[in-house]
Amino acid sequence: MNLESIVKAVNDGMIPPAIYSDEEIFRLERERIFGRSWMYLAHESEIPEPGDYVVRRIVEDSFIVVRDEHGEVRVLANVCLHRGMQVCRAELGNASHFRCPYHAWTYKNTGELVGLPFHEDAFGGDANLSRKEMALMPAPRLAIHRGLIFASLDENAPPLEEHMGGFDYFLDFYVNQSEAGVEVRGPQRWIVDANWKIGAENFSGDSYHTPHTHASVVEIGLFREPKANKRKEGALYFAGGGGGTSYKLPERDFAANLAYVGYPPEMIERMRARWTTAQRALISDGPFMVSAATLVPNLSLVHNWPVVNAEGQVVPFISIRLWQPISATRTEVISWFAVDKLAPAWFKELSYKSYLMCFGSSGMFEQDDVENFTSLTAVAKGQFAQRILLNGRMGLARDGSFLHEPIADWPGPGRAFTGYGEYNQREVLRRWGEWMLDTGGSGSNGSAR
Amino acid sequence: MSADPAEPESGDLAAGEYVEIANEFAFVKVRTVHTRNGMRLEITSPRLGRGIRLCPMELETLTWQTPETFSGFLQTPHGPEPEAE
Amino acid sequence: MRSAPLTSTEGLARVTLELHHEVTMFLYEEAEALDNGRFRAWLDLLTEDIAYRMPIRVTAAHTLADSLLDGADHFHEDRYSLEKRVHRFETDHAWTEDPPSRTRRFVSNVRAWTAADGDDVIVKSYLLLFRSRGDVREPDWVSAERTDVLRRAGTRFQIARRLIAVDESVLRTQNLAVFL
Ligand code: FES
Ligand SMILES: [Fe+2]
Repeated sequence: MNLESIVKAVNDGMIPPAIYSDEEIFRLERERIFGRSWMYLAHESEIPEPGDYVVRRIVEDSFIVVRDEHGEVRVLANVCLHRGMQVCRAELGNASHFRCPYHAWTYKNTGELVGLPFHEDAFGGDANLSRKEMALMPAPRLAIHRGLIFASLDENAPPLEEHMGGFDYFLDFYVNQSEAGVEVRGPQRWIVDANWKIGAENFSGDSYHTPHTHASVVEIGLFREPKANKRKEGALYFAGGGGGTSYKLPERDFAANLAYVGYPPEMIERMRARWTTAQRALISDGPFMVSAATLVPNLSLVHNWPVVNAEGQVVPFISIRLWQPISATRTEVISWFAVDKLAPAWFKELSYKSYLMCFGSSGMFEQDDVENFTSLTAVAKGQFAQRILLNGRMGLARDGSFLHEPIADWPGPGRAFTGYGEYNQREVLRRWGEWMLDTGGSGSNGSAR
Repeated sequence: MSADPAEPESGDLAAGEYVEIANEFAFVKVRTVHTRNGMRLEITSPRLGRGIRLCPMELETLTWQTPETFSGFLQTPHGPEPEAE
Repeated sequence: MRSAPLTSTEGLARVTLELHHEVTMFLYEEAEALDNGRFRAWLDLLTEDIAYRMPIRVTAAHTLADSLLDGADHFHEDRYSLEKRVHRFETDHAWTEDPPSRTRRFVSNVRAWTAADGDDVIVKSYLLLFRSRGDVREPDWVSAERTDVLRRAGTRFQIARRLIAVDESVLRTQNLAVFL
């Protein structure tokens, strides 16, 4: 199948398994998606002080994400300008200057080259190798939204706000619960033998898997929501560059619903003050509570509210995660716990516990998800299996029309449905197809919109 | 690290406990040293085999330096080069 | 950067040969219970106030001591959460371990000390977990050093604290649906 027919099939909701296993397709994704889109790297709370840095990747490219001595966040290629040695080899640290381990070229944490041994003797001094003109290569674009640090390798990428579009309305429920924003812990990192898109699609809208895949967590009384009848009452929304799932809430009252998922009164009051009328309406009038979500291409979020102790206390948690591709069939999962900075200490501790029980490397939800993702990837390698077109048409009639109407009085941006349907997964893959077919020819800015 | 004050290195000086400060690029040991009549802050680099003892006023001058000062120091990243000495 | 507190064994006395044998057998039998899926029996080997922790390992500068993060873990469990995890494996829907992994826990380099206060024994051991799933996948390995505090409970020991110092910063196993 050529790329055009693959994208056409995908847009009809019929998915060639090769998109989850083919290395040639991955090579194109690397260049057309990961080389262009906005990639999440780190959260500002990971580098709060001058000199704090973390090392992160965009596919194979390593970057130093650092707060410089003046407090500005920088994203610098972790490549020495001399012979290409990796400048920072620790995953995190604090430094005002980076000194290359190979021959000791030394850079400020703004990236500027300040020193090199025997500059005069070896290179003829600044007249012949001008330090001023040399700096660790910055990522072409850098943008920070609510503390989330993104970079793009494409000079001409549209602004992050444009890429995100209306999804920012939903992102606020996770990372903007007060004026202080969130702080993160982690990340946990582990490698799974799965294509990166499977998780991204799943988190964007697969409410259909929850009752079955996650039956065990309901059975043990950890999480009461995912029962089939409850799950399908939730709204599946998509706005701008992202979409997600939600659960139907029991009341038509903002505070009562937030208390139901376990937020204490002081946090609820800060949320009330922080969110817009339209945002509060999702919780009071929808009434819906956001759960899993994905911002294309590969950033996902989770918000759940399990029972965290033997006393039956329900405490919510938030997690941010990246599906960092390694190859067509391998992905590094990078998962952070996030909590509002102003939350009381007891809440932070219990919320952390509730995260570890549910998601991340040891999480009980996660465990079963990954089993699905890896199995699907392994199967998608088969030449015979590749004759199948996987069915991603849930919620569509044969003629392509919707089986159910979108929610009429949806308080948020974008479009939302209740009931089961793969609306969001199709949306994630439709954008994938746009990127993949955009060859970045002349006149194009090389970015999908 | 032991809780006892570190042994002074030169016989005439009493010294505080070493504090080690390291990142992936450098490693230094820092301690206070007491002279007969006062004290200094001693910084040593075991890797370079160098050390310096700074008096309070020298230390005070550091508080008004900008990062540029230190970038300047780092023009020769291994320390002084032969021709500069 | 804050690093995870490790139980110090500085200045503590090594246990007698006899006690060393006893704690070694305890760890072997624990591994046997886990490798055979006897998770209830394993829970029995833990105290009510068990603190079971596996901090995240990072590639950090200069010292290995700083490479275990404090406040960022793979596991940070108490009795409640461990009971839930075991209970989950007892349901018919814990797909990740159904069919179950074949695991083999290699326990070695056992060192033991008598704790400063009372009868507790501090035990350090190396653990190499081999995990095989299905028929087409490469097996996974998890390598770690464990520091345990064993407490006397009548005639036997129970684990009161376990700190798992994993060697990899990026785990190469699909999940931690296994106890270490
Ligand atoms: S490669 Fe970095 S100094 Fe030579
Ligand atoms: Fe799931």
